[in-house]
Amino acid sequence: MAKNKVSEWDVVSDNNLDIKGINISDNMPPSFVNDAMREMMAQIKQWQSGLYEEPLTIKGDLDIQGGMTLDGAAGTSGQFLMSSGPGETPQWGSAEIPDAFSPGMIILWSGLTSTIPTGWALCNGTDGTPNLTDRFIMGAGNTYGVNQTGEAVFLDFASAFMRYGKEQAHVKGLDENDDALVKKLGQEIVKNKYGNLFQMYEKIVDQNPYETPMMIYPAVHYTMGGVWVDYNLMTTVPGLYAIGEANFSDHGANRLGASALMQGLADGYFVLPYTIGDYLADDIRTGPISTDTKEFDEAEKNVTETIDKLINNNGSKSVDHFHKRLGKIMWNKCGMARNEKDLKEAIVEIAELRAEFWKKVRVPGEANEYNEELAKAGRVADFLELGELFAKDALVREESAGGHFREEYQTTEGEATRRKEFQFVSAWEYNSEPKDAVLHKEDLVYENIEVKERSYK
Amino acid sequence: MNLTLKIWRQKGANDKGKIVDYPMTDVSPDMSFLEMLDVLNQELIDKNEEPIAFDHDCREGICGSCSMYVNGQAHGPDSMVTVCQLHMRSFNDGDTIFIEPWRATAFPVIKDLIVDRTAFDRIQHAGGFISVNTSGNTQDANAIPIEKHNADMAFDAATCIGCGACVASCKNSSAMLFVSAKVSQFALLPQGQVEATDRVLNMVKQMDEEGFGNCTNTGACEVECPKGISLENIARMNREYLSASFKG
Repeated sequence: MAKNKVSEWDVVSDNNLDIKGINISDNMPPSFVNDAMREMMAQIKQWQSGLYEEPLTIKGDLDIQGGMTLDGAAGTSGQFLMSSGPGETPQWGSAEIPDAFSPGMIILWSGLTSTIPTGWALCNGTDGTPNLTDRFIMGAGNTYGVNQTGEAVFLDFASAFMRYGKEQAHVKGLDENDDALVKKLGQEIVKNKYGNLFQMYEKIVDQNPYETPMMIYPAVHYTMGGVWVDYNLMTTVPGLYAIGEANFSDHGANRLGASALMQGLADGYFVLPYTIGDYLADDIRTGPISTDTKEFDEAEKNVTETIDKLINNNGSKSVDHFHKRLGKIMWNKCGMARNEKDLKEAIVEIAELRAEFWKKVRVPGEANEYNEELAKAGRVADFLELGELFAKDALVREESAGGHFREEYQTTEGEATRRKEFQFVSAWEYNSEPKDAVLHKEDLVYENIEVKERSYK
Repeated sequence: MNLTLKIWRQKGANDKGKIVDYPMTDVSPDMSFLEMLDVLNQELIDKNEEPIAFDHDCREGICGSCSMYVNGQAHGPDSMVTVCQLHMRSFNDGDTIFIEPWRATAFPVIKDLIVDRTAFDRIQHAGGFISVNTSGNTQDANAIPIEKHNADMAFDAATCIGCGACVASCKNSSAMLFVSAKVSQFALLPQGQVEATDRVLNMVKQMDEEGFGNCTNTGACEVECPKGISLENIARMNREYLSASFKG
């Protein structure tokens, strides 16, 4: 077969008998060899000039000592060839390629720190890098939440251990660079501060929080409000005092966990001994108050009727069933972040749930015995009213305040927006149904402190 | 996992009680022991049966109300925990678990697993307090320097939650560990010195009147105490009692 170009030449020399129609098999005239030589030179020149489209395979080294062009275009400094897909003409890498490794990227590196390529830095908190020592980078899913609920976040004491430990090592004159020692010293400090909480966590989750970060979730666990009282801690019922967390007097939209003790102690130790004495002073000669009154009979009748109704209701669902459903509504629609639509839905849903509760609740046991389910039923009945009032109160409060974040009222940075016109306490007057409760606004007047937004930055 | 529960049922203080079997299926090892009982109670209510009465409040190991033996041990097999802190991962699939209320003359059963622990309250009323004037010029507690060692020991004694596991674990039903912890938390601090003599005499007197037994230094109470209250407190109370007897 005629060999019309270099690529058609055969590696078996006996097969190369015909160069572009020139027969160079054995016993041909010498002029044929001359012609064949000339044709071969032309074909090699053609191959070397790259004037035909054939794939080129190089099995040895490629040593380019001059410049390199692509379709006549020379690449500029820092550029490289990049494929634009199978069968596509490659291109000189443009500025987009260096962006793939732009400053700020964090990649994983397996190997010695001494062999990290130049231009890359360790994320150890120096040179403007974040400190990721002993951390692992997590990908963002639909939420950043951890554990089975997808709602928890990590609370990691790893850097606190090292910080406390370094201080201790310094104070005790020990080696601050001994990481194992520093960690141990730091863990002892944390154990002294929060040992009981760490133990609780370990018992619940079965993970050692000294070694693995804790999975936590900010839970709603107090009303942050309570019964209205006057300056002497007396409620709207004369002679009835409410102290501690049961009243509204100390905490506003915010309260820190475990601060309940403070209000209980302050009210009980320091306020009530004076104020209740002042009230009782007028009654010092009143003597025993008879229960033989219309009001007492009425109150007793109300309580007995409620208990009898619960015991004899003979419904189909347990008290816990309703408590859990109420909890879910409150959690989803009247939690730390709330909005108008959700709150309006919550009000309707809670009212419906309350009606269902009174129709379908089942309280086992008898009225006149130790009956936990009966006690619980009374409390859940109250929660079903209070829950609706919460939603109603939250709907009226068109601002974000402390632990209560009204989604419609936030800054562009997602911070809480407080509004001057809502600088009041909402005192709701009971009117049997929560929907009929009447709002009394009690202005908050600050004389000695300046009202301002708290920054958590 | 699947379990067989054998639970003490007793309708009231004057009724005769008995052990009743309850099979439990699909128990998660992550449940606390009390959560497991919650699940059982929901099943009982749904079957129109009476749920099991058990005492509980905080569910974080500080209220001390879960007064029950689990397999004969106060608060169950795990150490340094109350029943709410005991998790089902401490048990195996197929286990049979006995659940009974505290057994002590001074802790009569109210219903099922609930006992009356008000004897402890009366002991506290007899002397577990200090008298402080709160008339507005109360001295700052930090104004009185206290040696760190004493402060720590007083704190350790004060971590007693009054659960009654010491009484329940004692072959004599003695309340010495509880009472000594309450005496010690004041005896170790200057604020407790004013009433020291009366306190120990009155509290021990009340303890005896309630029907608690005496201490024979077995130490079961210390082993079963969920807060790790040390026997040293009993020795301290005995010293306090001896010196108070001479003074009083």
